[in-house]
Amino acid sequence: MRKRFWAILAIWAGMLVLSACIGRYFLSPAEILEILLGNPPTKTAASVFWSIRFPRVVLTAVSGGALALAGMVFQTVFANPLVSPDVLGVTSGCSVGAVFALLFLPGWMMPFCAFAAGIFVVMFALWLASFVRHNRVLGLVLAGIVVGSASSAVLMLLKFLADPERQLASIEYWLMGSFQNVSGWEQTAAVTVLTLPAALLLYGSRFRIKLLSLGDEQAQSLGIRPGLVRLLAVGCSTVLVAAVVSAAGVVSWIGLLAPHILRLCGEKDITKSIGGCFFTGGILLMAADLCARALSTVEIPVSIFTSLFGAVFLCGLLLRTEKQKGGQG
Amino acid sequence: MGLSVENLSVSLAGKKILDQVSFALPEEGIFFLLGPNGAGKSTLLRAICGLIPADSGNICWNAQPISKLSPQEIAKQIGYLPQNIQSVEMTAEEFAMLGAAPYLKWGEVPCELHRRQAEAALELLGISHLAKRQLNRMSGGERQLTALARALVQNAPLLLLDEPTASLDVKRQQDFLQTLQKVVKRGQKAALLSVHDPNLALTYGDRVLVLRNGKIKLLSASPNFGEQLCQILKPLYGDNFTLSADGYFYWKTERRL
Repeated sequence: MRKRFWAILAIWAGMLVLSACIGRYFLSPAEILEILLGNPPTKTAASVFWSIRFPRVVLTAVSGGALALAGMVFQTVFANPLVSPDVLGVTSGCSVGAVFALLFLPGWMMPFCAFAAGIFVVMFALWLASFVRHNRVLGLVLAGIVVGSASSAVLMLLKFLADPERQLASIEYWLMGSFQNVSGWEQTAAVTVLTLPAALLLYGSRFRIKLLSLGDEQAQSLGIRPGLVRLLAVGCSTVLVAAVVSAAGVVSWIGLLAPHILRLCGEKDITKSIGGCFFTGGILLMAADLCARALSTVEIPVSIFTSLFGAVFLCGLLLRTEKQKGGQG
Repeated sequence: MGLSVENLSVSLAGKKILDQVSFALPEEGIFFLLGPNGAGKSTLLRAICGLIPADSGNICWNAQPISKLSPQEIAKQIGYLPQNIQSVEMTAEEFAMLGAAPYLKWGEVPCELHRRQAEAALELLGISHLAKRQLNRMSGGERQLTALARALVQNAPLLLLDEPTASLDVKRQQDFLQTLQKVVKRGQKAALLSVHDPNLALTYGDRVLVLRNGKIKLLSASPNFGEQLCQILKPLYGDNFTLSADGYFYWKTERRL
């Protein structure tokens, strides 16, 4: 288990270096080392690295980790490996906030609106779920479907109201997710500041979150307050997702893919694999962002690649399962 | 001292399940809870360990009111095994290690010591060979034994077991209860079990509680234990329910062969 974690960390570090090197302005590892040591080869190289490349790479690493962590927590809390962090409608809520800001407010307010709307939607879903007392997990899933559907309706209305020539394209582009607009450290710092405490809280609560998968009664009989732990887990995961979506738009699949990759490697236990999951998410999103900015002269939305990774992975999983069943039969 | 329940009333969905139930049990021994389906056996066990709130009444374990304890403090005193152990993606050893939960502070996870405790508990119950098997690949009976191993790691002085023998074959039922007897004697524990078979209560019980229509009757082991129990159970199960001359309950019915 420990060996696997170090292997993931090594791949993560390799991907970080690769992402920092590759781009429209290529920087060799030696140049990066010189820049880090305060002896840049050229002013342009230093400027590209510190103002554009490195903040973006750090943001994608943190964002991927945050989405993966949220995915793993949701899958454990709901005891369902097919649940994604969006089960409570956080992404659709963030999208409504961001699109509203794109249409009616100054541009700098977009991340704040997206974050606020995402949190509001999840709080509303939690409030709605509190009415279903006999089966709290079912209540959360149903509430998520309700708010997700209402958010989609509002989103469609906003798209309908948007100017098709000036605004609709930017809305659609935002909904496909991109780190293109990252320059300087502001967004990276904002996402990291929001992500770090939430991730640490989840790390500290990992064993209690694991107990939730036994069901509320079993968890309580082992000494935890299931309602409180679930609220903490869902709340922190929501903060993680909302922080990423408000900075980069809708980044799909990472929350589902990263925990599944670890499961395939035999890491099913959140208490043992939470760190590995964070770094796996970072690797996936850095790889997707690298493809997004390096495969073409124009920047391609990152969700195209994350969705493609997801489709390929699930296809492989499907064929593997079928092969195993065939072998058994 | 021991378990004391006074005037306990519990309602679920507006229906009164337990009505002013009172009884007391000592700190050590095996106690059986009998009663027809829907009598409130599970409700009583869940109320004792604080999983469902009482309308009124007091529940004390060793003179400590349960309602005043936090879930963590309750878990150190009471180990609860539900009727159905949810199938989860964990090995038996990992599942048994969860019993360490009440003793872990925020941020801590079970360690090597807890793994050794889990190993010892699985060995005591004779299921060491299942240690690395996934819980969702076990039979209901094997899951029950694994859950008992978890309760042993939890090391609570009072065990509440909701129909633990329901999914065990006849031989396994006897093995399970003999092991429980050993555990109770060795650890000076009290175990309250709900069961349907009065013969198990008669064979292994130090005391028997019979629950009917929200009310409870308590019987202690005595020379005419079987007859007394038969008198109480007859109104519940009908006149065909009989105690044989050699002291076993059976059901008088016409045999085909």
